[in-house]
Amino acid sequence: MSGPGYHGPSGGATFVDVMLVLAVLSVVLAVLYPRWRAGVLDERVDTVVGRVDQLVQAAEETRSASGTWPPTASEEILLPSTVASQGDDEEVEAVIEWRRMESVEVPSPPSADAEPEQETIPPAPAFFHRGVVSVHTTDETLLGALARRFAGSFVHDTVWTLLLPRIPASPD
Amino acid sequence: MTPVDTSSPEERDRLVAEALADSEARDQRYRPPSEPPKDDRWKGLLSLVLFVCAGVVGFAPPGWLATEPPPTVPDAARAVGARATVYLQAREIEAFRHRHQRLPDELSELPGALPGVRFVRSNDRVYQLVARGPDGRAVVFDSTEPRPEPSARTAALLRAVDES
Repeated sequence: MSGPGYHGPSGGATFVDVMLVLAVLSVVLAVLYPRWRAGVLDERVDTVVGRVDQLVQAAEETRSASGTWPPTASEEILLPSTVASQGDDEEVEAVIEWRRMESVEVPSPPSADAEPEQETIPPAPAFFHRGVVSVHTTDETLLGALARRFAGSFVHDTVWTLLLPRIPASPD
Repeated sequence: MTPVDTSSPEERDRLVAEALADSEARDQRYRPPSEPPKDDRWKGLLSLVLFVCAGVVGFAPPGWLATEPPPTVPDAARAVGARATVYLQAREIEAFRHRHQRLPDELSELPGALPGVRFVRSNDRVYQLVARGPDGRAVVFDSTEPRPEPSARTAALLRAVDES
């Protein structure tokens, strides 16, 4: 242990070596983290979209078979949580609901030009049923992704709603 | 141990000089180098550059590296959603009125009651529907209007759905 160049025991990492490793890791993290979050969000959106598509398909089959939309029903969906503020084991819940909403069209009353002697039977109101799919979730990004994915949908508060075409209501 | 002769001043001076030389040799053996090795200097500079790059990529990534921002619902779209919700609920209440010749006591009586809408019944024939818009302002439908009319964008939405 002697010699002009010797200046103490060697081996181990210096502070600069540790900082260099941390710097490389921070660059890798900055590049990969947004992609990882986007991928996980896509997975959660795909889960909900899959359930919505199944629900719409089942409703369409019921409509084809019975001539009317099925009655109201609901189901809970558990989605994996990826937000840093929530624990890895905690799941974000979304509730998907099917509704059959009714509307009525009341024909206009007969015009004043009609002859008063004629007895006019007031036309009966026409009822319509419209299928509505709703997803309740507090996840704003999920709401935005659903609104972007489906045309004919809108968001109100924490609910995303998809409207299906209205059809004449079958007589009860 | 060999006894040291310290009788004469010369001998004592020689011993002191030897002790100082030995101490100096030990110091030189363990003294850190006066200048950092050249390796540490470029590593430090590279670390600094990489940290700056990480900050730029994290907070202001270039176009080829940026990911699509998470989707959000703009306030204008939320306003349309609030009006569409109120309109659809009003239409259903009118259908209920025609079927049962009365107003519902609560929205829960309706098979397709939408959430986020408050039903205020003034009397047996008059009611209001209140929903909260994106800016906190209320979207109100009053049944004293002869027929619930959708806004232009709501009408376009319903038309697009019904014609699909």
